[in-house]
Amino acid sequence: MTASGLLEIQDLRVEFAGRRRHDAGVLAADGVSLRIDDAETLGLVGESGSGKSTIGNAVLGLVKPAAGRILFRGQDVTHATTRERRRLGQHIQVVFQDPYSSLNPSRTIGQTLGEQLRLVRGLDRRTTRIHVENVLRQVGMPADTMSRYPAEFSGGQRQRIAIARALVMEPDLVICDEPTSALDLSVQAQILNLLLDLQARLGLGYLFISHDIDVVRHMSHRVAVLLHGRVVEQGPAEGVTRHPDHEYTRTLVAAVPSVDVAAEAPPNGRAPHRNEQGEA
Amino acid sequence: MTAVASQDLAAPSSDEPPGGNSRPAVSRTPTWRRLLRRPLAVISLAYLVLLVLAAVFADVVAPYDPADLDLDHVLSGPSAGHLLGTDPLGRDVLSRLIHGGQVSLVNGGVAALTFVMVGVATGLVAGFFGGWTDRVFTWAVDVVIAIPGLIVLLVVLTVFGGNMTVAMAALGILSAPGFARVVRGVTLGVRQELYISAAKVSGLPTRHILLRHVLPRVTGPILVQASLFFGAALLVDAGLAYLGFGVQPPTPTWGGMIIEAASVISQQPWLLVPPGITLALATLSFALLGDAIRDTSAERTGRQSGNARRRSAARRAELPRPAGAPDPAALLSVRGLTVSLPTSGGTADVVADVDLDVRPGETVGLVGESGCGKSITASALLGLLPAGGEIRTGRVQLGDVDLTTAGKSLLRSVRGSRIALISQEPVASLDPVFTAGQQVDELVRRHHGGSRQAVRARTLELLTSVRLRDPESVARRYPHELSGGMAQRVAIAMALAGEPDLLVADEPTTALDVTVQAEILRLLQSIQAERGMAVLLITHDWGVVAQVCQRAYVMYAGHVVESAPVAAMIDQPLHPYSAGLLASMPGRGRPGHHLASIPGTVPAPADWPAGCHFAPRCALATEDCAAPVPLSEPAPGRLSRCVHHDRLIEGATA
Amino acid sequence: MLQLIARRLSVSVLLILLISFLTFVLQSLAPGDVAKTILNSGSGQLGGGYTDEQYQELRRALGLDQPLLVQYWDWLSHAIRGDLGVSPVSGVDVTSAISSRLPVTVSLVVLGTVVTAALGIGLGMISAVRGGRLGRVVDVFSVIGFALPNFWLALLLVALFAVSLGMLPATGYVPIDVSPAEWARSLILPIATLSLSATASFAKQTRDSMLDTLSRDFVRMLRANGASEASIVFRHGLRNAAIPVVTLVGLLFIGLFSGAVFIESVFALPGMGRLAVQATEQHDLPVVQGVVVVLTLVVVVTNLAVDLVYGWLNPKVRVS
Repeated sequence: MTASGLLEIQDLRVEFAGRRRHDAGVLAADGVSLRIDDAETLGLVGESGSGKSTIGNAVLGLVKPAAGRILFRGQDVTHATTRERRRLGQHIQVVFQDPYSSLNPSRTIGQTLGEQLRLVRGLDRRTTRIHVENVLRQVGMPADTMSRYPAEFSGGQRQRIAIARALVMEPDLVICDEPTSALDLSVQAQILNLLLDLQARLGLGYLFISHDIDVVRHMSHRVAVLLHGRVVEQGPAEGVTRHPDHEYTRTLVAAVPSVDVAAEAPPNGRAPHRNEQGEA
Repeated sequence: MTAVASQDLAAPSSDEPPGGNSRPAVSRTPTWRRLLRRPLAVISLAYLVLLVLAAVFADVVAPYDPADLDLDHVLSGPSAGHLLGTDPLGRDVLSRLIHGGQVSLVNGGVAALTFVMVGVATGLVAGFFGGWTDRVFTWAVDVVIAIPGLIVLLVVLTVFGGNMTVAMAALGILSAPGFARVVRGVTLGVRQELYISAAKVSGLPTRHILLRHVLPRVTGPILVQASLFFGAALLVDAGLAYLGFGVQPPTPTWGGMIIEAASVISQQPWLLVPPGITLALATLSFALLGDAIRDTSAERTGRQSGNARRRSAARRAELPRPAGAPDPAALLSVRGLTVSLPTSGGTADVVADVDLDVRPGETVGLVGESGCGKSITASALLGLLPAGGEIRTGRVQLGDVDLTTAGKSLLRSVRGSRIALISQEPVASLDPVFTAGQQVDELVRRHHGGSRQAVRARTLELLTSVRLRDPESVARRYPHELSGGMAQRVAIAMALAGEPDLLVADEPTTALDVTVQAEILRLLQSIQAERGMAVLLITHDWGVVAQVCQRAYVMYAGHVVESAPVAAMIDQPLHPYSAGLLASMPGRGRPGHHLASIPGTVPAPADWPAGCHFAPRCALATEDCAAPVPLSEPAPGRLSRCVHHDRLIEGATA
Repeated sequence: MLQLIARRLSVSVLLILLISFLTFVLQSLAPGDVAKTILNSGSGQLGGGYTDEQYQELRRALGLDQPLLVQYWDWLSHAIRGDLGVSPVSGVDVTSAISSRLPVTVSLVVLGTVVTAALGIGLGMISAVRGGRLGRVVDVFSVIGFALPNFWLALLLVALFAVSLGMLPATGYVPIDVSPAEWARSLILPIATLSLSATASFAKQTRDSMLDTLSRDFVRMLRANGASEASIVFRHGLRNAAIPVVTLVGLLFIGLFSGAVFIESVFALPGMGRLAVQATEQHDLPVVQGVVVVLTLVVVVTNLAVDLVYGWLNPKVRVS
């Protein structure tokens, strides 16, 4: 095996217990193997229930894998202890979908961003403050953000703050779990641009999870398509999303309504139904 | 795991404005200070503090010794010497009341303290750690809740020789399970919050997470319940004293004073009043204090801080111009529609001066981001504005009926048979306690009547027409047994029951997976072709508009800013907002490169500028944009609310 | 659903065993025991007019010298056959003492529940649909109802309707088979007291549940597609709002048993509450034990009934 990259997932299997004792467990991930290199974005695309968030959560240690290995810089972190997690938290961070739930409403932004530095790194108050202000600047938020509560910010601003929280620990890898799905189109563009800038500047690796093929194509170097917990297709972003090999990926790509269909049609005319053939 | 549904759109009213840029510092004030702004809370608190102080300094404050007999002035009633009168032994009622508070308040405090400690500790642990702790907890709560509490208290009282402290602690324990359940519920909710996951990812210690993240979220409910329970405990304490338990006479207690009063009820009923009222007011104060705490903490943690917008007083948009004449060829013709909704600072116009036409059989898109007024417009068309919402001016002409002036009964007869609705959350838009079939039946019966069999036959026909594979089995199922796609098909069948001319589809596919979305859109198109029904499709998704709509209206901050045939608009938008939105679509950008984005966010209605609403975010804005901008017709069939629309064309060709 | 009932039943049986045993343990910890109570009351002399031998003999006769578990087993094996023992204080059979008191308490609590629930649901529905001032009145009275001590309220009612106006009897109870009219008159004030404090808060909770239902998506959907307002309120609104209200009725019913303890004392009604209070004062273990077990049984059966109705109303529970 060649030198492992930033993150390597081998034959990952995650089961969720059934609701009742007799139910078979649900397979949320089934033999998933993925790899991310430094400064690379791997897009993970799939519909609800495909297990894409589960894979992210397994990397973050939020769900326990039933089988398989997760290697970070070649080191097995599949079953990291709490202590190891604390160290790993300085390398792997996360940005979640819901900018409302991802910030504690009863703590100031300064407290939320600073607590990891103080508790995990043991920095003093002043250094923490300088560090947090610096990170906030990087995500385009003013320094007085620190003394405010999440309720004072809009969804897009909260997502910037959530990104700042991830960056405070100076990670190498950020799991982006649907980071723009809760945002409006114009704000989504701002956040995507910010993520691209940060990657270019800091050399971050992204595991970019989304249900939106267009967003994934825009953000990713490589893309993996998930269906019922399995990777059905994996490869360079343009190739997978424009000329898919797998039947399911084709269905998925075809199902996305495209604006350019209408633009090609004569004005006033009814748009052609590009999905007509998919009816069967 | 849920892939779709943007947060803002998933909310019940998708047009709730997202937060403005920076908010004033109102919500930063500590909870207790905001509590003191509520008069009822202040009065309650003052009364309770007064009671406590009086009890603590009873020896100084009380005008008489509570045990002093004055047999010459027995049962005197209120007088100058005895403000609250005297009891059957001539003892001063006021003094006895003040001393009585000592026992009662301490007892209440013991009960409340036990209650909080037991409830918080068990609820927090069970909720946060889950697993076997939670199973043991649930079982224990089930057991304790079924114990007949008061009787057990009596047992405890006998066992411990009338020791009220033990009895009150027992009361706290016996009452704690309900409270512990609340704490567990809140904790469970907080545990699933993403900020807890983020804290775990960073490796923060569990103790820190519990104390700093979970506990503060639980404090609100804790204070509320503790306050209410303190009040209830005072009542139980007095009740037990009334039954003859606890501190024995001659030591004064409130309950004891009531029993003494009861014995002379026919001679001096007044004696019932002082202890009863003192006690009731104390309990009332605790209850009101609890309510106030609940309201204040809801204010603080609310997603949209209600106070935040208070600074901008209610303001209404520019006076709407007189509405133009409706288009006689249109099925639906809206002119000058202005809708106001209540906000924390009064009311604000959230939809202003909207003109909109839908011709028979046509599919028209209404596009925009959340907070732009799309869904409110749809609600206004159907006469279903949320409470306090009002159509201020404008006409909504549906065929020969003006819906803005139509009476309730006319409106009801129009709904379903002329205009119908499908909405965003398919499963939530069906009643969970009736089967899919029963719900379609109801609307079929309403619109067509007929025998049971005829109605059911028509229902099955409708369910078949929405391409449900096994209509009979779907008809028997409850909403929670349906997938999102199936539920949306059932909802469409309900909407079709009255054979409407116009279907308002409010984000019908936003909550669905993209493959299911494609099926639903195809279904809508084919139904429309079969029936010649018009569709007004409200969406934020340009792809959906491009796929199914012939014409589209773009809304921004309450205004229609552009309308045009879809293909033409996508090819060459004539408003900078439409242009900006189209350019910020990831599907149209160069992968890995910056998307053209619009700076800032949609402002809240109270912050809309007097002139062009988009000006503050617009790259083309000049001082011309400070005055109200009317819709103009730069090209045939196209309308734009921009004075610089020609620069967009130049920009595109240059 | 059947599984749920089976689980509930098994928990209930365990519960009754546990609670009866706990009362046993608690009573055994009591400083004074039944033997002393009997000797003190029997001799009627001051200063403990009995010898230690007499005392020990009585303890043996009552089985108090046996280990706790043996005593409990002895009690339990009889209790299962409906024999709750004999009160050593009064010499009365506990089962018959309780069964003669039970009708009083049950008529008080059942009628109280019916009156409160009927008024509360009615008021709640009206204020949900009409809203406005009635809603605020309900709010205010629900807090006041919570704050007023019910035994005090009872005394006020007595002072007004019995003492001043002389319209109703102040105290006492007439069995229904003696005179239905007098039975009703004797219960009016007690039931009025119970309902006065609970109705408003019940109405408030019903209204909140109704308002919650009426604000849900499906109501908007039904309205938009032409369902009649009557159907929305009475068919859809009521059915959905009823789900939490059923739980409330159960809680109300159980809660009124506690309330009845005080009310029975005020109105001198010969019910379970008074029996329990007297027995507790006299260390009358078998009676207290019996009352606890019977009341626990009432709670358990009520909860089971609530579960059943809940499942019947809520298809999500019914199916799974």
